[in-house]
Amino acid sequence: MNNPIYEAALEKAREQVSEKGLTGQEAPAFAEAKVWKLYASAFRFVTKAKRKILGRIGK
Amino acid sequence: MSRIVQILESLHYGDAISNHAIAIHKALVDRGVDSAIFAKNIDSRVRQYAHAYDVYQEHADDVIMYHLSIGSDMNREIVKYRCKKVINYHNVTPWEFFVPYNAYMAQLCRKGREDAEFLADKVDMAISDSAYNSFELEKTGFHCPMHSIPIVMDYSDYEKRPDPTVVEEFSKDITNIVFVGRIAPNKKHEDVIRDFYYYTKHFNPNSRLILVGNYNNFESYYLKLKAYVRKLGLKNVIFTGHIQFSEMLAYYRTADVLLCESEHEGFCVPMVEGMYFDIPVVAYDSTAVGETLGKGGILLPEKNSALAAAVIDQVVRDETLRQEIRIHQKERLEFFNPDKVVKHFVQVLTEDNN
Repeated sequence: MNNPIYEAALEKAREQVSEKGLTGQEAPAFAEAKVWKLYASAFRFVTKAKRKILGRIGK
Repeated sequence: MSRIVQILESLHYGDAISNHAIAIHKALVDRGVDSAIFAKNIDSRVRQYAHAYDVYQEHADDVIMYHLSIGSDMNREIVKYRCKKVINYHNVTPWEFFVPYNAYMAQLCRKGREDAEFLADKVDMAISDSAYNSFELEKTGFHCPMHSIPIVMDYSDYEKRPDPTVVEEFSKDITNIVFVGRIAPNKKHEDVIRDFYYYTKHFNPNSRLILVGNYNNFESYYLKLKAYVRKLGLKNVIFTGHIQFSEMLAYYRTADVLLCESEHEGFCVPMVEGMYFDIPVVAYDSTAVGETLGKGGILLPEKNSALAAAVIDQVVRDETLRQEIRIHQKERLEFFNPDKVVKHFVQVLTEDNN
């Protein structure tokens, strides 16, 4: 949580960004590894399911 | 009186957790408390502080403080001891961050979190580096007494001589934006780079970004970051890679702003270091970052590189704001005063054990 002086600085920064017509989305994106992201989601799903099943059978 | 036994997988030279363990050990010895460190791997430069874990023989009135920060077989081994067991939780990075770049590290982190779950009802007390870490332990199922005590940081190290070559090279009339932290996906270096892109393009072309930290274990992430720098057409971005401590001191000494976009920190040592070196800190408010900074530096409430760049610009140009930040950071720094923190540790570890 910022103090009021920092909040004022943030507000001023927002105004500057707006004056310059920037959104923060202009820069090219960092290329994330999508395949691995899919793998991570699948892995997370399997781990959760495993835990749920083990929890139900009391292990 | 009980013996305080600290156990950790590895005692390194210069790493935050190892320094922390050594500082606590020294403080206990100074106060006449029997203290020992046991580790599986011990760097020869800190050999004098530790014994090989294999030779540890439990005494009935020992108090074991086990440092948990990653998956390890040792994490579960400690439950075999019958004495009082305290876990010092330094947080385990959520494994999902690492999956795209290092499956082994991801696996270690996943195991670390599972190990923490396993230990939830098997330890007598937990000490976490931050309230955020304590909250995580609670969510994991810990119901034992808990304390939030920061990592012990030896400020005297920061008074050592900074590398003169680096100071000379980086003290020129150019704005230095610095981020300190190993190159790891949770630290979100890509966001720091993007912030700098906006800053140098729209606010201050006479600026430079210095990313201080080694990239061991995350070489592929490092290469992706380098590619991103090229894609953005940035010239003034420096990756230091692994450096000596004196060089790190030099980068701190020449920094104009310390920037952090990390999305996961259980405690953020560089934030405290930034405050120590009187560098205005601008950081994204995530996990324990905000808690570490307190009312010190400026917290960014959202991920927006244009906004981050505008805030950096104000901090660089507005001397009154810089002074304001410095005053608040100095106040906040007092919370991490190593003497106070060590005292707190000694008190918690020795109470009710005599």
